[in-house]
Amino acid sequence: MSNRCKVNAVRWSVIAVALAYPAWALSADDLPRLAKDPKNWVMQSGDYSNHRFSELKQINRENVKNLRVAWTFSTGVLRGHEGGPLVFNDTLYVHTPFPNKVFALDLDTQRIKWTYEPRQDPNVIPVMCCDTINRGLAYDDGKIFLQQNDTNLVALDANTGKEIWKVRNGDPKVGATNTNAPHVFNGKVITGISGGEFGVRGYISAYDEKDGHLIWRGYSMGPDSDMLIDPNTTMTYQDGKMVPVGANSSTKTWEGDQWKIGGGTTWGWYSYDPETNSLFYGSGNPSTWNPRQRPGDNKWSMSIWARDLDTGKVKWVYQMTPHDEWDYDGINEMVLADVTVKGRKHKALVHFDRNGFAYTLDRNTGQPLVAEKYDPAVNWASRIDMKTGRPEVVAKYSTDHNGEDVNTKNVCPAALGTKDEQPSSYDPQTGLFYVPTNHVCMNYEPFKIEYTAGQPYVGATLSMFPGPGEHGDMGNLVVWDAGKGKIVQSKAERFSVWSGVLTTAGGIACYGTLEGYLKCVDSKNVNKVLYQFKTPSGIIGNVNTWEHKGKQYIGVLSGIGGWAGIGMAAGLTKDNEGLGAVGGYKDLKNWTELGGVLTVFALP
Amino acid sequence: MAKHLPLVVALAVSASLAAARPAGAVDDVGSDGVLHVCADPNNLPLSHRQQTGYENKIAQLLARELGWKLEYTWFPQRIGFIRNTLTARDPYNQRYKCDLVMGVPVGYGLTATTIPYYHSVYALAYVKGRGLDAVHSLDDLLRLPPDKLRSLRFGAFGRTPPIDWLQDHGLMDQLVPYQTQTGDPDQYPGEIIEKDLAAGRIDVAFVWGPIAGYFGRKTTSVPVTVVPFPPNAKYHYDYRIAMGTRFADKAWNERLDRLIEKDRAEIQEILAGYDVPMLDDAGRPLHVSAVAPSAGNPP
Repeated sequence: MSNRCKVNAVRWSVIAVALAYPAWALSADDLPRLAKDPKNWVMQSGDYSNHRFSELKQINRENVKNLRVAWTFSTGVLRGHEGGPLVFNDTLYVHTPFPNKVFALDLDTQRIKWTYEPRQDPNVIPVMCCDTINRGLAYDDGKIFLQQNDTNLVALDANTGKEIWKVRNGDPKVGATNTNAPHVFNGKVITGISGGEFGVRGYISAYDEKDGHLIWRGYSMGPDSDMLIDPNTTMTYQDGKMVPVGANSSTKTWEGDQWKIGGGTTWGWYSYDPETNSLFYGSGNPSTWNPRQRPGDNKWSMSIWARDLDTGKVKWVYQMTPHDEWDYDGINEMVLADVTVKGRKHKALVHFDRNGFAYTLDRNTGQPLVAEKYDPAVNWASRIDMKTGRPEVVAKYSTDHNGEDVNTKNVCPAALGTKDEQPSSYDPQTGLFYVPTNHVCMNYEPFKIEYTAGQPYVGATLSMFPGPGEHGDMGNLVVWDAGKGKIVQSKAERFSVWSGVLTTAGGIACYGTLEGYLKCVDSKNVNKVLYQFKTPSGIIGNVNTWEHKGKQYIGVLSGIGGWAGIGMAAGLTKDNEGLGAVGGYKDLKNWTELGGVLTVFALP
Repeated sequence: MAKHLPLVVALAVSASLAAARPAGAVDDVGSDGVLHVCADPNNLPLSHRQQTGYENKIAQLLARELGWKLEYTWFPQRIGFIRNTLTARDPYNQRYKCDLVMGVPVGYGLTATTIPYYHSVYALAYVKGRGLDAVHSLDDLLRLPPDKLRSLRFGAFGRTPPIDWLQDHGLMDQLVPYQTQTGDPDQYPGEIIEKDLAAGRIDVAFVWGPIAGYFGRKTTSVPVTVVPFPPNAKYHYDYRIAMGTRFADKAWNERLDRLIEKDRAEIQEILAGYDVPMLDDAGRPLHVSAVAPSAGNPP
């Protein structure tokens, strides 16, 4: 038999198998298998560890300058577009902000295979503080998972778009909504909740991917049983060592019942370590917003959590910003990597917090190893005391300390943080983190009267402006050494970098800018821009990559909006904010307009 | 995620878009002979989609004076209210959704304000005959026998000034906290009295005076006493309420000022009909007789 015949025979047998097992009859270990192949991009971050790194290297630092737009796709939606598409099995799945449509696109033809458009109560729109964004889809077990803004978590048949199951993850009537992407870890769909500005008590939930039933739910605050904390075995860092948290570790840091509307929502990027079966994520700011009215540490808002994936039981918890006064939500991505600190290699968790400090913790024990500023402008705390694990707060930047009659000026970072949700990337080849950041500070003016549901009270106005620096730049792509706690390189950007970074084995780092540029830089020298292209709108989406029919593609959603899109425009008419002369925010309207488009790039 | 900031900045966005709008867009207030008002559809005694709130009555008065029709855009008065109403444009005809918000506090950052048309205070409310009848001021609460004081559950809304008072007097452990806003369009702050106080889930409700006054009378299942607080510099109990317009609409704002001046007496009669506790400019209680029973008898 000739070789040719052999090949044919093999082909026939493959088709026979395909007939017997339709392409979508995949098993529950679907996700890890698909994720292993760098041709796919099957999780929002590419892997369980939140690396946002791809082994693909057809596009590399030598040839990336030749990149061309291969095709584009309009989502038809104007709100802010965060997250990015999933790609596998010759199909690309992309989501939109409210109304949270899902499109499945045939990669061969770019034809729309199916569309899902949920019917959602528009009453959810006024409940969403900062635009009706959605950070994307998840996949496993033949199902696409969509976490709708109205808190419905939906499983769709990946092949047809038909709804398989749907569960309600929260109650919009108390102000609960969802913006986070669901994450699938070992057969469980993990999802958080938003609505801290309404006083929603945050929680994280695990649903069975098969039928959507709730397996466990752990709250961010309240009685130990609500949090799934065991006072004797859940550990935290205190006086230089890990100790059991003890009983009522949360409620004793609040006065009265305030924890019941205590915030600590969970809308970030989670990670998973299969070796220890641990789930990692962060909790957001405490509520009520007025810090004076909620004395205490307000645990466990603003914390990094490690839970057992199967039971939800808390292994350890570490509070970064006790008694928050600045809105530094602790929800940003948790990146898992091996990091050498002082000569010793750790299974580490690295987290770039809104509060301007980058934390390296031993993820098995929860012990903080490094906590340093990743923007030198950060001033609300002088340092993190590595003995207590607590920030040393600088009194003149404490809005609580200054009280209601004083302007608290030049607090860095601003409320949107040195980094918000836009996820960083870890490049195992350089061993470095590529971090999209904001370089923005704020004044906090506590004189304005607010008015909500017909009741007035003394509130505050925040005004934001570029951080210190000659050029008025409002963002940086920071390259970070998590073992030393040092900035290795920094590339300034006109606006905040509000786009998830991608690094690849091709030696490039790619990210989007608020003006709308996709930029690819040399991962060894990020100030060397190798390629840039102006997409149709400002980018707050995350860059990713895949391979189809032998060709590597890079894709990114553009579509300005979200807090960045609204926030960046803050200076437009506020002449009193000192923005007039600065080329920062004032300029954004000269660069971009609304509109969601996926732009896909490839080499010619 | 963050809270009040987007409100402020959204305003800036709208203003900038307005500036960039091509000439010819119709922005002249009243050019269509309609008074366009944005209001909460379900927050009595302030406003209601049945136009049964005092803001609705005052809007009717203004429309009558102007000789215009009155039309509403309804939206819950919560986070994002101004950016979704007064400074938002209808996507089809590019017209602003309204030109007037009937109630905003003086010192508000998100709109221009007219001269104030009433001045009110926070109040407490309790059910008569449950051991609190001697309470005619906040200090009276502190004079209660310690056991009694310690047994009370205080309902109050997050961020409002009575929380500061509770805190300064070591009563936070007895606080039953209420969300300043919820996501439920069917819910309104008055329920703290109408439902929870009446049912005994709390013993004392702290709430903005106009809401307390109205629901204190409306709640008929139990007799309710309402005690407005005197103004207090430390706690900011009192606020002056004005009408809100876009910053750019200066002539419109001034026209409203003149109307408020002209109709002040009638406006105060309407407010009195809803039992709104009112203060004069010096912060003393202002007693106004309600208008004729038919108009002054709120639903």
